[in-house]
Amino acid sequence: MSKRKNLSIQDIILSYGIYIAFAIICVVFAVLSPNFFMPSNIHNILIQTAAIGIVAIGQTLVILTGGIDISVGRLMGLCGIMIGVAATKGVGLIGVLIIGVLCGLVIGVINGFLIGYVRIPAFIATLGTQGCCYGLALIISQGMPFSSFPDHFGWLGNSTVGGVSVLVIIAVILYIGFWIFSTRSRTGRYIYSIGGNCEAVRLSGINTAKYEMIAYTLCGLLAGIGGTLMASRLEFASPAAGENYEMETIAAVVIGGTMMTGGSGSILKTSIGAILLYVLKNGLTLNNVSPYWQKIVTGAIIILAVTLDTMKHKKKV
Amino acid sequence: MANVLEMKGISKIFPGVVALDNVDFDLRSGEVHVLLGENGAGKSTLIKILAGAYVPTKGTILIDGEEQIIKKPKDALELGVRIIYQELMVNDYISVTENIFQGREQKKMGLIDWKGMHKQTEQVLEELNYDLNPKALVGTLGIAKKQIVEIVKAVSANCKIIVFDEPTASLSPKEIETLFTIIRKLKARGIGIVYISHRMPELYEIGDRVTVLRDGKKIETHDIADVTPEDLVTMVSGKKVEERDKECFATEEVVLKVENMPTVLNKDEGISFELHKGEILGITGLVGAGKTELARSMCGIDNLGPRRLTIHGKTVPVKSYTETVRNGIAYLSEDRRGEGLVLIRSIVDNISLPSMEKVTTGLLIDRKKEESAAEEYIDRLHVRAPSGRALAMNLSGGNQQKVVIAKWLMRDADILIFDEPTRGIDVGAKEEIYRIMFDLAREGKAIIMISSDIDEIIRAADRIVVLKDGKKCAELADVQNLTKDAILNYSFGVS
Repeated sequence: MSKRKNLSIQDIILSYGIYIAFAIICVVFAVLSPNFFMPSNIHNILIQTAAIGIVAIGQTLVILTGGIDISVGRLMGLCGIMIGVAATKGVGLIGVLIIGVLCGLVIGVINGFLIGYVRIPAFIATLGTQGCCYGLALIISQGMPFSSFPDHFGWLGNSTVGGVSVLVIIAVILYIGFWIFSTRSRTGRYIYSIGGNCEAVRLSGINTAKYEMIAYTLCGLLAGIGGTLMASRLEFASPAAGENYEMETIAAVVIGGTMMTGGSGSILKTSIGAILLYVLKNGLTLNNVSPYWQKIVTGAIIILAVTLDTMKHKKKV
Repeated sequence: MANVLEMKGISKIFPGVVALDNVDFDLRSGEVHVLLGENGAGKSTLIKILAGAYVPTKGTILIDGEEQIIKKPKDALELGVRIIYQELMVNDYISVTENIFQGREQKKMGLIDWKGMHKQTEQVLEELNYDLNPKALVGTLGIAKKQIVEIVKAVSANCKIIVFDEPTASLSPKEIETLFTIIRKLKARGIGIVYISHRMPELYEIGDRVTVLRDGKKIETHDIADVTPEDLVTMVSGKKVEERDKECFATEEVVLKVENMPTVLNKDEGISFELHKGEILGITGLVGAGKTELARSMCGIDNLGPRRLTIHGKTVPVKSYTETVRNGIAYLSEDRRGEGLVLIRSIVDNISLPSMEKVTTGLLIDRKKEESAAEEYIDRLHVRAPSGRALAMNLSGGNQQKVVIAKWLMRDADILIFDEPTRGIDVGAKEEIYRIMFDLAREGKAIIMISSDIDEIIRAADRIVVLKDGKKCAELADVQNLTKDAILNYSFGVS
């Protein structure tokens, strides 16, 4: 147990490294391209981040339990397709939204049941449902994308209130809501504790399977919301959509400093992780860096974030 | 006898904490040198320095009279130092021989020489007079045999020093005897042995000398024959521990009736007993007798088909552990770190975990209420920690156990099942845990105390149930007049 109070430079780097990196990246981009710090560009980044950011909330909950959900990307794609079918069949806006969110919820319940009650390892269970989501999306859409949405459908993803995108407002509300949920509600506390030591929680008389199921259900629900909003913003749904989005959500969680082993982390920090990912994409694109190189930079940032975290935890022990 | 090891003036300073303060320790070849002290006294730090896991802040280490610098674990291995930890470091998925030769496989014409290695393994086993198949998969062996694998590994690498860290914690009396026979053979080979254990009678049986550490300082070193256990306890705790007569608070009121409770070991013929209000019922038996299995079965932790409990006169089916807790029964696992606590959470979070309903107002947790409720138990049980916000992982074994007890007091459990309540806890804290149990009994709680430490059972229990092979083989009242041998006889099925 260290009782030292004064922080050394090393401690500061280890604790706030990712924020420092974030700041440096922003400054560099601002110097390189004057457009970067324009309010319109920042707003743009936030709009792009919103959908993935919302899904990353669910991913954080699941990772906090010590699990993982790799089905969310394809699930977002499936939700888009469900909406597409519903919209072309003449279902109204509210009905369409409900269908999209419900689709996410159902897959979340299935994931939660398989992992919490059947005790299938999370990676395998969600690998399975990932395949099923993709397959379903292909079957329902016959492999064809939808782009002929009714006019009002794009409203949610593309309108603004007081100059701020509705998408961003929804994301902020969900972040604040789920942050309070995760830190102040009983279920949130159980989710953290299960990731810390599942057996100890079970032997505290708590039905851990139920709370694991809740985490995956919420993750599915949020993927449904994210998928629906994304389809609404793009006014386009394709069975191929959502590929690798699960990896982006995991990257956002990890960059935000949530431990992959569970039990420690924060939903608010995930928002920083998600924004950082899209700031990188945006800044690199503004500076004409090829998408190929963008992947390398993103990969390097993930490794840097996890390295700092590992060093911090090593030092604690 | 020559000193195989001398550690002189060893100090280890962590930021803000002096873990070791100018400690001298020496070890002769062919002796068993007991290292005794409370948790946090510096035993582990000293051993970690010897093992190369820590580098000392100050001090020198001499092996066979030559000064050595041990900077990393590899250095220690090369100097012939082996540590056999309580958590055994064997690989379950490979054979005995493979484990023994891991990292120094022998080759013949470029290929691994299995035949030669099996033969050498057999040879060492023969010298130790222990029967074990070198080709057996280590995962199929019990803890006692895995320990032997580690010993053989050390011996076959020609080690000079073996450190045993609580080697008998998970062994039955018979296995302990076998281990001691082997340790005596190691002594005869001139190997120096450092022996860490809290079990007093054992130390007298196997130890030659004893060094007591307290608060990072060396207190004294003695030939073990020259000191009494009472002296040692005094040296360890630093204060005189008064022997307190056990009062019995048991009443006539039966709070729990267990009838024909099956266990994993014996599904057909179950175990039956009654538990009274204010009583401490000891359940003992050898390793494998079914003590933990009985508790897990009656609590609904293991699922074994339909079975019932009668709680306060009401017969209920055992459905799930969640249900059992709701009925006021709590199981305090023998594995505190693995099953009792969420180590990366705070003390307060751990205490309130089973009782979240109590501190939730509306949808949200009332942090102030939670903290003040938990603090009440922290004070009452004297949990020693900088604050309730300290992480459970930073506490000593005794304080961790107190946090686990606090959990269930806050949950208002009135039937408490303690499984090995003082395992891995130092001598001074053990007494404290007993005292807490006595206080709870006085308040009218009913306690089941599962323990394979017979001294402890005699010390604390009002009545004793002895298990053997998943069956009840004796129920003994009048504990004051029981001898250890009498209980052991039942355990072994001698009488």
